[in-house]
Amino acid sequence: MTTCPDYQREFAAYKSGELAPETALALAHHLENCPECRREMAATESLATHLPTALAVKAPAGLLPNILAECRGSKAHNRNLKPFLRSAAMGLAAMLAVLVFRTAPLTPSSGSSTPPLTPPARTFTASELGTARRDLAWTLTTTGRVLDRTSLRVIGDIFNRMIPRAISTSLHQALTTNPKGRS
Amino acid sequence: MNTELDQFTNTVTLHQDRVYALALHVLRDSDDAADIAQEAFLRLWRKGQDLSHESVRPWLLRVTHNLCLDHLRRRQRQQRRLGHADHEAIHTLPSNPETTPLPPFPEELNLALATLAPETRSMVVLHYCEGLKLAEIATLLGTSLSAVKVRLHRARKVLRNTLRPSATEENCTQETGT
Repeated sequence: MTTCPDYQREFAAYKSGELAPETALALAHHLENCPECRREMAATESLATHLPTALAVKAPAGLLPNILAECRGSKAHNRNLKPFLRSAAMGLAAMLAVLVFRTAPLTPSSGSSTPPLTPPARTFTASELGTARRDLAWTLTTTGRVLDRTSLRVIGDIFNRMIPRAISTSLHQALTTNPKGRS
Repeated sequence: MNTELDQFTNTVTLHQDRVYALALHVLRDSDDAADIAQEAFLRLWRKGQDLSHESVRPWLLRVTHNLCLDHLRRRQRQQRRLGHADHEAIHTLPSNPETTPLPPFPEELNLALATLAPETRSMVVLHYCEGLKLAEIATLLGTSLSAVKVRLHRARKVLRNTLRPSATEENCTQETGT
């Protein structure tokens, strides 16, 4: 820290007492000997004095009532929907997990006369399952984020956390109990 | 019965001016700022009792800052799309948000603030109005301390002449003196 601009960059930290003692001492010493930096420091102090008043602003009168109206609405909404949605989410998660295990392989083996939807139960490799899980998790998480943005937090939670967790757990159990599934 | 809502009402009353001010100075649009402030408080409400009393203010400021930046990115994307839209479609859209009247800040200050990046405006408000230390701002906004120092230094250089009441008088004196 040798030039005036270097010192001046530290002015805000100096004024709020965030500099290390030796740095603060060096800056104070520099200020004594540098009229240019003293002027800059005076400007900094002036800004700190006047900006809070100049930028002060009151929230619009309607803000609080609007927020409270939304809160009352969302409270009632959540209270009614939550139990139903949780049950629905668990059901959906179970259904998706079953589908992941029971549907046909992505690329059925050539020459097989087995209909696509009734293959032998275990034809997936771990990498296929991993890919399917990642894709599904991505879809669910993205859906959850979209729902979060639209203020549907409960549904967002379900897509973000509950369903991916349920699927992940199911897949993990399947892989650990069926060694053929490991690649 | 409504204790939770009463507590929340007190919290909103306590923080609404600072949340709105931050949003207003970053976005420079009154309507958008009110929307963002409302969204920040609704997120707080949905968060419930997870936050301690002391952590409410930094949480609100961080969420407001992030919501503002998201909003500006969306606005930029919208404006880029409009670049390819036909003129008729453009004329049916609301007027440019930048022209929405702001509260009566000093004109010079207003113009100077407009030249700063949104993140820098946020830092100015957090430091000079909210009194946050630079390290706190860095933590709050997820940036480095040196980045905060550099941005505030630049902001100071831009803003330093806007608040001097005698700035205009000095210019007049210089002009008449020469």
